[in-house]
Amino acid sequence: MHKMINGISVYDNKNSKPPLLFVHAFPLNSDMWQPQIKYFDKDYRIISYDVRGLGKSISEDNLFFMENFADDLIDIIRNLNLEYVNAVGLSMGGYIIQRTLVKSPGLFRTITLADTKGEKDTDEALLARSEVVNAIRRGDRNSFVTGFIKKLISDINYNKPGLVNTLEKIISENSDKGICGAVNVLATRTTTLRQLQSLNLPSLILVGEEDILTPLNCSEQLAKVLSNSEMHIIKNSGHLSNIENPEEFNNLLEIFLKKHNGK
Amino acid sequence: MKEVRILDVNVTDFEGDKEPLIFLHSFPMTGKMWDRQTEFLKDKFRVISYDLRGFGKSISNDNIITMEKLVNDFFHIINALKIRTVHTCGLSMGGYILMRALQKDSERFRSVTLVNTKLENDGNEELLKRSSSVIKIQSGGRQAFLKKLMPRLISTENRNNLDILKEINDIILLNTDEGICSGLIALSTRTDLSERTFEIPVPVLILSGSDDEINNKQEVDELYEYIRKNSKNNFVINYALRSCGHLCNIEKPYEFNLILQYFLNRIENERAIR
Repeated sequence: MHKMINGISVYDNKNSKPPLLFVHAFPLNSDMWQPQIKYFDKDYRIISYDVRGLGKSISEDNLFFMENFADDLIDIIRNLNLEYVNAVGLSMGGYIIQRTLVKSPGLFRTITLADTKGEKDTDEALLARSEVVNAIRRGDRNSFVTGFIKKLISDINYNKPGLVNTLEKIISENSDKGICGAVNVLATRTTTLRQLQSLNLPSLILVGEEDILTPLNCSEQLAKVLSNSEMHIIKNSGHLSNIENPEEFNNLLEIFLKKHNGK
Repeated sequence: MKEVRILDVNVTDFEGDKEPLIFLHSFPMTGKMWDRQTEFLKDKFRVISYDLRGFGKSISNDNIITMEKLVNDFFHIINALKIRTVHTCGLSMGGYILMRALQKDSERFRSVTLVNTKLENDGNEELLKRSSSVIKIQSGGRQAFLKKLMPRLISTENRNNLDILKEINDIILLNTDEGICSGLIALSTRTDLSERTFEIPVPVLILSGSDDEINNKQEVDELYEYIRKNSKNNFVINYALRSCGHLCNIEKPYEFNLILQYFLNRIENERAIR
């Protein structure tokens, strides 16, 4: 069931189980969580949404900072009266959860950060992002998407039939401006590592063993600062570990959630 | 004088067969903030000023801007005006653009004047301040945002000077909410210039307002140290204008114009002698 909350398109299966909320990666939308939404549907109240400017969450100007994305997440949690949320974010979704957690730690029971990191963009990353905005605005969206998908997933998964098409289809639902707006959000995010240090929240850190966008050391750094964390490396996967190896991703997430939701 | 549009950017070119001198404005102003300088220098130089993308008349439906885009705009403009090398002057945000442009292609410069600007990019605290400004403006709080910012742009002694306040306010009024927000975001996308060094082959004038609240003296000194160390030219001047703040060119136009003119004349005279 979908509903709009302050312009954000939110999916909610509305059952009375513990809340399990998913935040997607760039430049995708909530459709990327299909393998998890099916798997956890019976045991959890599943919530997922399209980040502002992407998917069905349309923005007029697409001018925002990470702070806007974090405020949106807080709004959704408050609007649905959710308590003690189990939040799962991959890459950009992980950044959004980290910043939200720093602002409002009391909203969460657990967090799962997959294929993400705690440091802000380096100069190289800033210039690369600027080039993405340039390419898209001058009409080179297709070459950007083709090149980016190659970086998102491992070589083996790239050459398997199906996955590239699925990703292309999801990305095709996002507007040029929405993608560019999100690029600038990624470029202007803060470093969260120091603020996360004081938190004792149960945290699951996952990373695809062949992730080249946020390699293993990024996750190791997060696991180190989050005192109550466990980290697992997902085999046969690049950056999109939830899609590339859903069996292992779901299995690890399920064990972790059961441990911390009294099951 | 003519106005030309170069890739959605509105450029004012005083024309003439003289050495070109281009001005880059600060946030949240427009090219109009340089009126006193362009008027003073237009007889000796081919003076050019422009509204940075997103500001003043340079608004378009493309509001998602990065610092690098603003840097590329600078090169597009001098290319379109068929300018080979140029004297440049940028204040604050304009200075960020010039320093990055200098790093990318210093051969296009004849000199650089950096006014109340700094090397480092935004840290966490500044990023969050800019975020909350954008959120404030987007929820209708433009007036509140400007009311807080305005006094910080000028020295304490001019904060009750209605002429100066009106002059600044009239320029800011030329900017839309969207333009101001996209400028705040673009500022946050800039790189950290202190992180790496590059050779600076042209004369540099560093100007600062002694009472600038936005850039402090330490930041100016760091900039001077950095430029001096990397200068191949050894012609670097660091000058503080007294009793003025961030918008020192508006607060002390006479002094500002004289020091800028002195710097530019010295370069041109030395060239003439050679």
